[in-house]
Amino acid sequence: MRRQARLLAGFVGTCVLGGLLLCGVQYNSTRIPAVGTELGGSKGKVAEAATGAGYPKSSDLQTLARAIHGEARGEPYEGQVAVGAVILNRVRHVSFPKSVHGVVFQPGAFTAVADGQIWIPLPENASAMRAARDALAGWDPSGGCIYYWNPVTATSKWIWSRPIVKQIGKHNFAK
Amino acid sequence: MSNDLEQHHRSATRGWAVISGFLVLSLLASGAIGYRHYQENRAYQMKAENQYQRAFLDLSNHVENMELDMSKLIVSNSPGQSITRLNEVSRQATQASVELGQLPLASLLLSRTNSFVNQVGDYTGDLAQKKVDLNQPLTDSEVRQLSEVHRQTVFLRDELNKMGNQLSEGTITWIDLERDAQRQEKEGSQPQTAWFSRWVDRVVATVAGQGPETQAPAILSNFQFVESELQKYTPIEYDGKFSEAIKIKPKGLGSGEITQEQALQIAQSFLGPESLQGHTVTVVGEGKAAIPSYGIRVVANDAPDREKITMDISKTGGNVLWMLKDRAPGTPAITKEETPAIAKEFLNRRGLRGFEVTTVEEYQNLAVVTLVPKDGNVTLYPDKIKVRVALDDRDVLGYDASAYLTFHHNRALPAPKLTVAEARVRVSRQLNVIASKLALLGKDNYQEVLCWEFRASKNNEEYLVYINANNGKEERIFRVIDMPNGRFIH
Repeated sequence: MRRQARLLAGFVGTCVLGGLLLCGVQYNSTRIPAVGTELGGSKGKVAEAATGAGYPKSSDLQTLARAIHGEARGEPYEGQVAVGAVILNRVRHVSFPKSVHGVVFQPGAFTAVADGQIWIPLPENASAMRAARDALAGWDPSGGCIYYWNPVTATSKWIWSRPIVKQIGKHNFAK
Repeated sequence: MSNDLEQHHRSATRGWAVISGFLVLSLLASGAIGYRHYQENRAYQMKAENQYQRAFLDLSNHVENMELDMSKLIVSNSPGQSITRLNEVSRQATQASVELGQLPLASLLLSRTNSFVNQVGDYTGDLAQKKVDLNQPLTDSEVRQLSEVHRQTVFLRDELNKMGNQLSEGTITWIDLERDAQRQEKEGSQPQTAWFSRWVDRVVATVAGQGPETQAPAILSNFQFVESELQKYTPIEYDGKFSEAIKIKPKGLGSGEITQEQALQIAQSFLGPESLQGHTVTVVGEGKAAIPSYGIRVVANDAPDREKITMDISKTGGNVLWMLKDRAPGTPAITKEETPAIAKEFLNRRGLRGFEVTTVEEYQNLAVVTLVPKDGNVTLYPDKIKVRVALDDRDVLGYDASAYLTFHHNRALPAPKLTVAEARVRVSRQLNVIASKLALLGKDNYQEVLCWEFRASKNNEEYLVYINANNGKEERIFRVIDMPNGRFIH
């Protein structure tokens, strides 16, 4: 009897766990899949390019650093700055929203935004924060790119139609 | 014995009854949990759907207003009315761009539509400024251009209205579209299989421009149609920052192509032998950006997996475009006030002389010093170089000369037509002028204007006012923003 009860408890536990897992799977499957490929200046940035004017607004900086951390932590430092630069290049580009937040939160633009990695707390002295600062200060290892993707995990076929400028770490960068 | 058997049998039956009871219960429980999740999920989807609907409807409204104001603009006949309408069109276009950016459609799908509204906003904004400067109504050629833009806006408005009607019929949701847009992007522009299009047919309405090869849902193919049609119209001709005509050729690269070996030597002499001891320098690739370059990587011999220094060197002229060292500096040993001298010294040693410091920005035990060269007594703001100094050991951890190499050249600047006193009277009487100098200012469209720069103050705020040295126009006003990490102009 006791053995049966134990068996029973195990069985019920498995069922409940299975049920929960099922719910979890169902929940995940309806989550909006991200494109995983796209990642981006404003009038201010262009003016900056021309006059040396401009200052980093703290909200832009935070968002940029979080996006870099979510998208490119573990990449070489150069690659992190390049991801920040792509976001800023988008802000400057005619075909994209005209603010850092507009670009980063554009639906489907960044995997790290769609799956919530952008909200991972930034560690103290995170390299992503330095990379964001450097990108805002003007460093652009991507050489003016507006797209990047990881060729191993990229889901978009269209992205391959973009002319590749260079490869940094695991990412291809393209115009 | 039989009693025993019977008892055993009975207890087994009871056991199975209990098991099945628990099974049913747990199934019910997981079902209930699943249903709750499903409901929650639906609620979140609905929220997202409503956001998308709102963005689309606002987009529709802004484009409708753009059209309306543009038509009034074309028949306006006074500077005042033209300027008001131009600014209104510009504002509506800017708003339309914001809403477009919130639709769940990949930006590659909407790139032409996005560039259209952004260009209209930019063009009309610039034109408004021009009309203010000249105090003129629209010229004939401007009316022609605006009529063309108006034609395109009418097209966009009508298409958006059609899509709005399809959406309000409720046969399709943005959430569906989002999925389909992503599927399309994954599959490229290849035609879908028959079963897929049959499945999709439940939502496909016949829409104008839907080619036989596209069987995507209506709104999606509608946007594709808008994209391809907008491409056929004449682009807006103007010289603003989003103009397609603007392409800058780098002016400061010098001449001659370098080889990989030369790039390596340039990198070594730029970084200096002492910072390269125990390190290996290699050329890792070629960049095909606006300035074609060789990529250089430096690794420590005892840690070859981590890039310590990366830099790009232009193929033309062999200039270092930028350099970054991956190191987080420790506790500062110097203050940021000492960094301008370090930055100047760094440039001097590399043959870049006569630079003046414009700003110093400090963050995370680093200081970024911005320096600009001079042409005689004229400060050349477009030709800036940035030098990133570690506050712990004074090492230069970064260098960015991309602006310098893009803009710097012998400009043969003419003497200013206005004297400093003539320009001075054009500065607001609200301000106390502290200092003045000649400066070359770059505009959004990369044009350059020679200005008298006036550093001035009001109350405790400092400003920079730029008066065109040739015609006295008040070109720009910046405010100096003092922040704990540095002084910025904005």
